[in-house]
Amino acid sequence: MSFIRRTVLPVSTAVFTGLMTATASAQAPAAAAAENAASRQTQADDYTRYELLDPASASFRIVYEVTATTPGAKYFWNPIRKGSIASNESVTDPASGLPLKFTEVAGADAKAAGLGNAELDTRYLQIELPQPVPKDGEVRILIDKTYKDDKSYFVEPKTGFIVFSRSLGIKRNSVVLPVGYEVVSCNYPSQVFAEPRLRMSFINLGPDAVSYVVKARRMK
Amino acid sequence: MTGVRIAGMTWVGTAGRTGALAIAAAGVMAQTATPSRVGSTEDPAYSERARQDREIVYFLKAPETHSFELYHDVTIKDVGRSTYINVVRAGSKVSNPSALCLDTGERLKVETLKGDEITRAKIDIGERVTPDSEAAVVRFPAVAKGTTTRIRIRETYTDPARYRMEGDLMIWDRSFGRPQNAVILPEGYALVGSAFPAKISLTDDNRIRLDFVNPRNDEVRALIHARKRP
Repeated sequence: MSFIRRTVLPVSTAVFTGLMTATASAQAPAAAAAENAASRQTQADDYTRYELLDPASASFRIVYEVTATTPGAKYFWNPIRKGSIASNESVTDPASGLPLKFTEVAGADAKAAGLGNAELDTRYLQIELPQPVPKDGEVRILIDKTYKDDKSYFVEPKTGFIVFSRSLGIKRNSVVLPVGYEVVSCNYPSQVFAEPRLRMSFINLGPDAVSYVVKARRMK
Repeated sequence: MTGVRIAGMTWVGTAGRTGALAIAAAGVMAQTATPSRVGSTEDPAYSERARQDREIVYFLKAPETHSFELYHDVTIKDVGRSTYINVVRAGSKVSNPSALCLDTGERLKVETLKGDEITRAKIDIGERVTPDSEAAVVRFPAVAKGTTTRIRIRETYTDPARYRMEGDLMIWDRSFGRPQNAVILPEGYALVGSAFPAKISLTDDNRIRLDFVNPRNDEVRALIHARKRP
């Protein structure tokens, strides 16, 4: 029985790949198509936890679990969303618990290093994998970073509610409220946990990103 | 009879769970799915969930009372049908039933039958009638050919086992059979847990509302935890 690799592509990459595949099949020789396929990044098992920090900071911590599945890949690239300012990045190998080396690179550098569909106006975390992704295997990665983004996390002037509003392309996500806040609105069906900070968690079953909006207020 | 039709069959209503499969005949009859239907296109599992029109909204009263008000809406589609039977699940008590026709705003006659009253009225509730059996029967003008009737039933339930306090934690632990269900927390309570994914919103009177959609033809356990705000 052949091994079937679980693969999930980020939306933007999937769209790009789809276009690229269509173009390749129509015009490019088979060898070029194969080269393109080899330069694509595949991944699986994505899960993101957003921890909302002090509302005044407009910042949230992102803990992102992802698995690199491209056979032979030596790097994994994580795009930095436009409009967000990243800080406090660290990357860990969950298999060993050891930190992984990474650098922030421009799209052109990512492309030069092997990410064939890198977007030139996007910056990436370029992560050195502890070993090349084995054939019929995978490499798990844990990325921890903080984003400052006042369009995604802000205080609603009219109500005083804190709002986390962000398009989430990853299929499994959770959002943790700051200490002392209660949820008053959540626009996508989510489980709720108290740990003791409230955490909303959901699985996106659809093909598109979820425009996720959570509102919360301070408990008196 | 109510709910979505499957090759001449419909569902007997219950407040909060799927009832027994019933035949949409002129009388008030019900029967459980026979083995011959299982796996066939008449199996309830093939019911088109998105087309089902049963909705319910629960308004939780103070948890110490173990009581909640609810209303549920259904569309009656069977020609000649003039009753809707709401079977009260074991362990629950119902009071203050009322109903109206949503198409006209008219109030409808409702009676609550218990034990032998159900048997004497020759109502099949889809399960064995016991002295504790309870059913609310809503009566309305028979559905004419080419028409449907949309009704709303309001009731107050008391269910000490499934709606209770444990220490300072409010617990709601009931299963839902309908595709669309909503629970509105008691005034002054903050949501601290929901086992089944819910959309959350704030009502005009400052209460937390959870909306559950179950796209599958089965029941879901809606386990909700809440705490009184300081």
